[in-house]
Amino acid sequence: MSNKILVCDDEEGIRESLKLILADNHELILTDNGEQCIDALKNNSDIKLVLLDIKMPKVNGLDVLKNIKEIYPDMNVIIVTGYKSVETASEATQLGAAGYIVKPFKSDEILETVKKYVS
Amino acid sequence: MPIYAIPPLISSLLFISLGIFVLKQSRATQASKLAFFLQCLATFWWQFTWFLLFQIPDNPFVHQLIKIGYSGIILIPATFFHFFATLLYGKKYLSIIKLYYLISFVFLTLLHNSLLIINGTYFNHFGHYPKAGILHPLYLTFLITVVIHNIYILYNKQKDQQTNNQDRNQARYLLAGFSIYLIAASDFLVNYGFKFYPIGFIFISIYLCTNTFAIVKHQLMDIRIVIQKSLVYTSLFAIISITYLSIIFICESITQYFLGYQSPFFRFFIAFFLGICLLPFKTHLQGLVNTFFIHGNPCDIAVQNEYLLKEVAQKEKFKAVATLASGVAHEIKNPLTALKTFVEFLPQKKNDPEFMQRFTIIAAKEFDRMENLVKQLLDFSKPSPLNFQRTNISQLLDDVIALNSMRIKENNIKVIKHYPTVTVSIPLDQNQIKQAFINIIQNAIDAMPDGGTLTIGVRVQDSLHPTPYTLTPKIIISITDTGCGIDKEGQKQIFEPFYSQKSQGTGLGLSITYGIIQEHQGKITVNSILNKGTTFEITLPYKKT
Repeated sequence: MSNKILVCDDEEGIRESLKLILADNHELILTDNGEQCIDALKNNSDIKLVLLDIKMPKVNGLDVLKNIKEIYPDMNVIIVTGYKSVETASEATQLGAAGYIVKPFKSDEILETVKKYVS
Repeated sequence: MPIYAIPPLISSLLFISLGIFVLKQSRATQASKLAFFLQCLATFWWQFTWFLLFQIPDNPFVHQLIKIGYSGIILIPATFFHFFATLLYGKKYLSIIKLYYLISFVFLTLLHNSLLIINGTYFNHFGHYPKAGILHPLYLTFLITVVIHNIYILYNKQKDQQTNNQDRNQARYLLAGFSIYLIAASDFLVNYGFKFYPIGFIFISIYLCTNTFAIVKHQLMDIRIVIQKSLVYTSLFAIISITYLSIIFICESITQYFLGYQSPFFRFFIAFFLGICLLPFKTHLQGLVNTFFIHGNPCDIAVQNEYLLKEVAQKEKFKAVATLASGVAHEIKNPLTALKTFVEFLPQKKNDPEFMQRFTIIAAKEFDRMENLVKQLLDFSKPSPLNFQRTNISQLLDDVIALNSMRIKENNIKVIKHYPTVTVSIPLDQNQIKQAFINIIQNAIDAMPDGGTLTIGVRVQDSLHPTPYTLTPKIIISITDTGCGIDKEGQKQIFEPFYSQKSQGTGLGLSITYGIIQEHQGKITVNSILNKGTTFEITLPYKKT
C-alpha cells in the first residue's frame, strides 16, 4: 500500500520541517503553491494524504482545498496553518478537510495525525 | 412663478442632490447607497412634476404630466422597502423587493394605459391635482401593506436581541423617520376631492435631510439626535402649517366678503405673527418628543450618544489590534515552527552533516526573517519624526533605481524614465520617501521575474487651468511595471498591514509606504490589470518651502 504524502506550503522552513518529521517513513512530494499541488495530484494517482497550508500567495489554501475536493472527493486533506480561528477551521471542515493542525506543531502531533490516514 | 410651485421645486432639487451626494460620498455599502438613491429619485420625480404642474395651471399636457408624476408616487413604497431591507438585512429580502417592484410595475402599466388609477384632474386654487380612479384604493392597499411590512421589519430589527446596538439604533430611528414621511400621505386626501394645498413636501424633505445627514456623517450611527430634532421640527412645522392655512383661509374669506379682494399683506402679517407666537413652543415640543419617543432628556441623549460613538471607536481599535496581532502571530509562527522542528531533531541528527547543513541555512534564514519583521514592525508603529530637506525628486528616484540595479539586471528589466525637463525640488524627508519608493520598486521587480519594463514618470500638475479643487500644484510620480498584476480584491487590501501576495513578504512594506506618503500630506493609489501590470501613483503637494 502506498504511503505517499503531498505537502503544499509556500514556506521553505515548513516544507523542510515536515520533510524532517515524515521523510524516514513516508514518500513525500513537496510543492510550494496551489497550482503545483493540483498538478502533483494529477501526476501521482497513489497520493494518500495532502498536508495543505492556508495562507499562500495568489491562490488561497481554502480555494486549493475546494479544487482538490472537486476533482478527488475522497482525498484526505489536513490543513496546517498558523491561523487558529474557529471560522477558518469550520470553513475548512465544511469544505471537506479531514483535520486541522495549528503551527507551531510538534512532530508527534504530525506523526499521529498522519498515521490515521497513511500506513 | 406661482408661489405654490416653489415648495415642490425646492424639495425635488433637494432630493436629487441628496441622492447623488449619498451615492458619491457615503461609506455605506453600494447596494444600500443605490437603494437610497432610487428612493430619492422616485420622490424627486413626483415633486418635480408637481412643480411643473402647479406652475402652469392651464398646461395642455396636464394629463400626461400627471401620469408621469404619479409614476414616481407609485414607485415610492417599493423603493422605501428596498432601502430599509437592504440597509438592515443585506440580501435577505431580495425576492420580496423584486415582488414589490413587480407589483409597482403592474400599477404603472395601469396608470399609463387606463383611467383606473388616475381619472382626470381636480382644479384647485394651487393648480391641477390628480383625481383618484376606481382602482386607486387598490394602490393605497398595496401602499399600506408595504408600509406595514416596512414597520414590521424595522420593529423586528430594533427588538431583536441578537442585533448589535448600532443596527438596533438604526432601525429604531429609521422607524421614527419613516413615521415623519408617512404624514405626507395626507396628500392622498387631495386625490379624493379634499380641497387643501398638499403639504407632504415638508415631511418628506425633513425625513430625507436627516437621513442623508445621518448616513453621510455618521453612517446612520448618530441618528438618535438627528431624528429627535427632526421630530421636533416636524411637529412644529405641522402645527404652524395647519394653523397658518386655517387662519389664511378664514382671513381671506373675511377680506373677500367685506372688501371684495384678497390681500397678500395679510399672509405675510399672519406668517410673521405665527412665527413669533409659536417659537416658545419649541422647547415644550422638544420635551414632549423626549418623553414620548426618546425616553430621556437632551443631556441623557448626549451621554448615550457619546457612549455609542465610544463603543464603535473601541470596536474599530480592537479590530485593528486583532488584525495586527494575528498578522504578527502568523509571520512569527512559520519561522518558529521550522526552528522548533530542527532543534527537536538536533540531538539525534547532530552527526548527520546533511542535516547540519540544512539546519544552518534554515536557521539563518528564519532568524533574518524574524529580525526583519521586528524592524518593520518598529518602523510601522513608531515612524521617526520627519526631517524635511529640499530634494530633487528625479535624483531621488535615480538613487533608488541605482540601489536596485543589480536585481533589475538579473531579472532582465528595462527601465524607462519620463522626468520633467526642469528640476523639481520639494521639501521631503529624504530617507523616508526613499524607503517608500524602494518598497514600491522592489515589489515591481518581484512582479517581473522573467523580465519586463519598469516605467517611472514624474510630472507637475500645475495650476495653469485652476479649478476650485486643484489650486495647489501637485507632483505626480508614477511607477509602472509589466508584471503579474494584482486582482481587484488584492488592490483593495494592498495597503493593509500583513497583506502580501509574495511568499516571503511580511505584508508591511506598502503599509509603511502608505504611512510615509500620508505623513507628507500626499496620496497613493494603485491601478492594476491581472497579467498586464501595475501602476502606483503618488501625489505630493508642491511646496516652495
